[in-house]
Amino acid sequence: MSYPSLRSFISEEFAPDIAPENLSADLDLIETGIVDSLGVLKLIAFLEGEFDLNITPDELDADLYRSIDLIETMITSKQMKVAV
Amino acid sequence: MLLQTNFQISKTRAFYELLREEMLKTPDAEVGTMTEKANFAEILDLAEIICAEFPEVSSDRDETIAICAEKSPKTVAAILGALSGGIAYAPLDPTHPDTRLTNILDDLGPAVLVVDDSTRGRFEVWARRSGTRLLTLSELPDRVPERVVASGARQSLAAVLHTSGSTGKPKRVLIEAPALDAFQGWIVDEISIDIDDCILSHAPFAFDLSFLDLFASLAGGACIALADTRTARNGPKLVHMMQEQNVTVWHSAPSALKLVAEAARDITLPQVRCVLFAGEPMPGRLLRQLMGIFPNARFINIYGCTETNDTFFYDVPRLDTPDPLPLGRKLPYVDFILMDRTEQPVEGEGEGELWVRCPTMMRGYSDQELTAKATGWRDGIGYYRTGDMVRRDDKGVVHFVGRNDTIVKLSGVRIDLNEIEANLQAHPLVDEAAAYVDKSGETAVLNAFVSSKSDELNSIDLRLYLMKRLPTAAIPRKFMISIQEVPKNSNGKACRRMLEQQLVDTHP
Repeated sequence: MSYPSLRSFISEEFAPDIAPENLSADLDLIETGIVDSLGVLKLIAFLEGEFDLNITPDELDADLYRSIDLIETMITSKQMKVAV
Repeated sequence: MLLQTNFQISKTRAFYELLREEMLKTPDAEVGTMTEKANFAEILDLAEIICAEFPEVSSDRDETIAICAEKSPKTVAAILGALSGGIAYAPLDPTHPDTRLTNILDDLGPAVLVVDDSTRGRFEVWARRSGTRLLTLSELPDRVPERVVASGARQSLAAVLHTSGSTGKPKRVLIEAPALDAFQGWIVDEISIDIDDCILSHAPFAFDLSFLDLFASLAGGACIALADTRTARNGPKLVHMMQEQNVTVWHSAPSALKLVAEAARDITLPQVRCVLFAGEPMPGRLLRQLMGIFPNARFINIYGCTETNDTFFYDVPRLDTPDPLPLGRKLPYVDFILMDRTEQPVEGEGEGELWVRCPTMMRGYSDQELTAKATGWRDGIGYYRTGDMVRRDDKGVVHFVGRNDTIVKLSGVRIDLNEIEANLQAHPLVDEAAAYVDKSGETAVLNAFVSSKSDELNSIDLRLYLMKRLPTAAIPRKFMISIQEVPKNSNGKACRRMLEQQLVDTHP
């Protein structure tokens, strides 16, 4: 599933010159330096607030937030768990 | 004073005598541009004619003859003429702007300014104002004067070079005769220069690179092919010159070899037996091209600076060529120390600022405060602090790491701003780039200002590009992409301080 507000957040916070729709879903956000370790924390805070997710300590691994694809999958799976 | 002399040759006049003696062994060896040639015997005669035009030097003050002329056999004779009179020569680059040159001349106060027809007009007003004699190389008398040993025979200052200073004012570097002598001795030995050689002199005489081209060739009896300003910037002309004058030794900065590589295409130059390069890192791709163009050449990467002349060299292997090339090993007469940040010497493997000491180093700058700043002391011995960070590996080979003033540490990771800039500038849409650290917030942040004429370029392109070339920590957090140029200081170098202090509008 796609979450437009996630793209807007990444664009505004980390890549202001790129329009949200131009961020490709598989772009490596870590390797490209768009999101650094501090950025991951900001991103997690955003996910928790925006999507009402509860991120556990072992989910603080930057690898889980490497791309928009991965983050979106995570949001979907976590929201499904909440729904069940 | 940095240099302490106890060498055979201690005076400028004696250095000239040594060169003359060697040159007379091969009087037919030629020095020439594509249009003007003279042999060693003719050049020595010309040197005496020119020397006779210089005033007697009698005072204890170091005298200089400034030379601002296009490269030609006569200009070489003017240099020898100064040395013959026991006077230092101060070569000025004719391609530099008038104001820079006249400022240098005002400070220097030369006994005579040697010019040629192409430069004379630029200095007539200055010469009148300062009361300095202009000697034009096209208006020399014909008759060779009798040789008299000038009374200036006591002077040991032999050459005065000017190098850009971080303040914008050129630094005057004072070089003594023993330094030139030690250097030519090393080169003649190391690459066995002899009468069958022809060395292409690419650098302007105002650069220390020219010491090799001039003094090692003259002492070794080799011909010199002089690339004047127009030839030096023209790849096809350089290739033509190498073929025409049967050049066997090439010496320049890598950028000039790039011109050759572009022009040569399928041409090979098998007679070239040695290619020496210095002054900037040699790109790996260019080096591979050059090895094809010069199939028989020994490739040598040389490291040095105006203040010390060459101090390290690396014989480049044709197989398994490292990229980047190491600085290699020290010259036989060089002493060096790697100093860590607490000014403790690093033993064995490790990294530190390179301090060197050698017989080829300068007496000092004309500005004693600058000399003191550039001098590091260890056990009562003065070293020249290069400001370069280097690493010594387990085999004792020394590698360049970066300038110590461009290396920053962010979150414990060491980052060289120059390296980031070099990589950004390699992007086809980037005209210029400056990386800098923004310390205004809670944590220091690495940013980059990128100048580009393209409106296609965006931060993702740059990130994807850098990602393949740099560790993640070296990828800037923010990119300011602008059609504006990178802000520069008066010296033409990117001014990071202006960016750091946000004196420039960094918004796109």
